Amino acid sequence: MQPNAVAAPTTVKRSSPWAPWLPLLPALFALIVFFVIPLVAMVRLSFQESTNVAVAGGWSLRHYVYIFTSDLYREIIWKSLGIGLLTTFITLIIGFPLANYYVHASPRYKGLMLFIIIAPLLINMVVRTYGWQIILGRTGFLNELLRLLGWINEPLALVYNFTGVVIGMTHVFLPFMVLSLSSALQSIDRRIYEGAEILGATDWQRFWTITLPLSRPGIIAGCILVFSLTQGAFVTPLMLGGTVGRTIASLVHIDTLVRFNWPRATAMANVLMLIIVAVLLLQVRLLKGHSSALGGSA
Amino acid sequence: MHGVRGDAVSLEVRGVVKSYGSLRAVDGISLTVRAGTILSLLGPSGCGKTTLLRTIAGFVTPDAGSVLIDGRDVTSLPPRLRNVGMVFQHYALFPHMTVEQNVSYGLRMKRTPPEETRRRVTEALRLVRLEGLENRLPAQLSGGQQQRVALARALVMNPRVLLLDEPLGALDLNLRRYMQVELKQIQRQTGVTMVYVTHDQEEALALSDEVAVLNAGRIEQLGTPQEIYQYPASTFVANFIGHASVLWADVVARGGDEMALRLAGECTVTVPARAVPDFAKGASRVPVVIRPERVQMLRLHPRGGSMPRAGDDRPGSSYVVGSGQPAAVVRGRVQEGTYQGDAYLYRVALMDESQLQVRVPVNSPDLFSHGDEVECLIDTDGLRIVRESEVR
Repeated sequence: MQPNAVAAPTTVKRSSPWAPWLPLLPALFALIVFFVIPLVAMVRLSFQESTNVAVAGGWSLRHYVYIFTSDLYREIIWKSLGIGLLTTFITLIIGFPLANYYVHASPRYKGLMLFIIIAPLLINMVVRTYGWQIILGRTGFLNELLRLLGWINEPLALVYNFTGVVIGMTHVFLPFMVLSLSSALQSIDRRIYEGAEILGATDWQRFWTITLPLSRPGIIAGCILVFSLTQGAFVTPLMLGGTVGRTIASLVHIDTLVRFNWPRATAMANVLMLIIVAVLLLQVRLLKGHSSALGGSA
Repeated sequence: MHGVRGDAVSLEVRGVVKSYGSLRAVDGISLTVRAGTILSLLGPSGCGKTTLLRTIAGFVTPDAGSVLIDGRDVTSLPPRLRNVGMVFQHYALFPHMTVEQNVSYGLRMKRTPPEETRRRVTEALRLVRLEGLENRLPAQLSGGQQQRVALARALVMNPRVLLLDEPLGALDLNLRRYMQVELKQIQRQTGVTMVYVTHDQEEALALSDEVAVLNAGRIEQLGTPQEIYQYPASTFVANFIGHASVLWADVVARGGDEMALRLAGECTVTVPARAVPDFAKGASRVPVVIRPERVQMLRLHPRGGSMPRAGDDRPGSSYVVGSGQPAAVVRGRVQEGTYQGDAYLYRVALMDESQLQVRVPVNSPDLFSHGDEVECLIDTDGLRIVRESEVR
C-alpha cells in the first residue's frame, strides 16, 4: 500500500503531456474501427479483380478504367454532378430569402419558423419520398391541379427522371442551406444595414454591397454542404429517379446489392469520395480567402 | 462644406411620441436646433434619447409628431432621402471594405462621378486625419481610428444634420477627452449641425452649444451648458449634472418681493421673488438645490474639544462666505469623504437627516473625517429652488 501511494504522484507527473489526450481515446478508437479500417478495406477492394459475382484474386485498375471509359458510368457521373449543382443552386435561391426573413423575424415567430424550416428532416425518408411519388406522378396531385387549371393538356413528366430527383433533393436539403445561411446572416449587425441605408443605399444596393458579401461564408458553407449531401444520397434517386435519374450513389447501391460487383462499387464509391474531398478543399480555400480579407476578425 | 452658425433652424422636432407596448419611450418632445450648432441629448439609459435620435434619422416612425429638416417635413421619408448623417455607437463600419471604400460608399451609391468621389473622400480623410490608411480594413484600425472613419463616412455626404449616437462610448477616457476636442474642431471647420446623444454629462457640457436633459421620455430642461449647470430646473437635472444636494425647505413667509425658507429645520434664508419659479409660488415645501462648491465647512468643536451640549445654539445669520454673500448656516455630522484629486467631497448628515454635499479643496487647512461635528455655510446666492422630478 505504502510504496504505491508514494509512487503514484511520479506516475501522474510522467504521463502528464499525454493526459489531455486520454479522454479522446474512445473517439480515436471509434474513428479507427469504423472509419479508417473500412476505408482502407474499400480502397484495397477497388483494386482487386472480380468476376460477375465474386471477388477474384489479383490486382487491377480495371474498375477505374471501366468507370471512366464506359459511356453509361461517365454519363452518370456528369448527371450526378449536374443534379448536385442544380439542387444546390435551387436551394440557395429559395433558401436565401427564407433565411433572411427568418433571421429578421420577430422572436415570437422564430420558433415556429424554425420548426417549419426543419420539418422535412422530421419525416421518415421513405415516407417523404413516397409522398413525392404521389404528388408528382402522371395522375398525381400536381398534374391534376395543373390540368384543372387548364395550364396543361398532357401530364408533365415530373418523376422517375432528373426533375424528380432534383425536386426530392431540394426538399430534403433546403433546411441545411437555410440553417447555414441563417447563421451567417445572424452575425451581421443591424446597424451595418442602417449605416448603408442612411448613406443612401437603396434596398437593392444594400443587398448587393452589404448582405451578399457579408453572408459569403454562409453561402459557401451551405452550398458545399448541400452539394456533398446530394452526392451521397441514394434513396431519393432510387425512388424518384427511375432509370434515367441515376446518380453515382444509386449506382454504387445497385453494383453492391444487385450486381454484387463489390470491387466496382467500391471503385465508384472512391471516385465519389474524391469528388467530395475536392469540394471540401475548395471550401477551405474559399473561406480562408474570406477571413483574411476581414483581417481575421470575422 | 456648408452650414453657417446663425439663427436659421436646421432641425425641428415637433411633439414626437413613440411608444413600445405600454412604455412611452418618447413622450411628447419638441425642440429646435439652430444651424451650425451642437445639441446634446443627455440622459440615463432608457430616457428615450436614442429613440429620439433614431426618429430623427428615420429608423423609427413616431406615433405622433413630426421631424423637419431645413423646414421640410421629412417624417414620412426613408432615412436615405433625409440628407442626414449618422455615427453609430459601435461605428457600424462595413467590415469587408477598406477605409477608402467605407468613406466613398455613400457617394458610390449615389453614383457620384469617380473624379468627384476621389476628391471628396481625400478631403474627408484629411479632415479626420486618416490620410495614408485608405487601404486598411476596419479590423486593422484602433478604436479611435474606426471612430474617425465613421465620422468621415458621414461627413463626406455633406449632411444637413449629423446625428451621433454615443460615438465615443467605446473609447477609453483619455482618448475620449481628446476626441471631444477634435470633434468640436471638426464641427467648427465644417459648420455641420450636430445632434449628439450621450449619457456622459461632462461630455455634454464640454461639447455642446445646447443641452437637452431627458428623463422618462421628456425634456427636463433645455439650455446652454452654463444654464443647465447653474440653474437646474429640476431635482433630476441637478442630480444628473455634476454633484448636487437636494434639501427640502419649508416656506415660512411669503412677501411681495421675497420668500423666506427654512433649511434643515434650523436656519432661515430669504430668496428674492425673481428667483422663485412660478410653480413654487404657492407651495409650502420646495426642493432646494445646492452645489457642493457653494458650501464651506467649519469644525464645530476643534479636535480634542468638548462634545456639543444640548441646546448649544448660535445665530447663523452673521456669517459671510467667500463670495461676500450672506450664508445660511446648518449643523451636521460628517459621514464620509471621497477623494477627487483636487478636492474632497464630503457627505454631511444634517439635523433633519437630510444629506448635504460639501467640496473642500485638498489644499484647505482643515480636512475632516467621519463623525466630525461641523457647521456648513451655504452661499445663499447659490441656492436654487427647483421642480421635483417624476421618477420612472
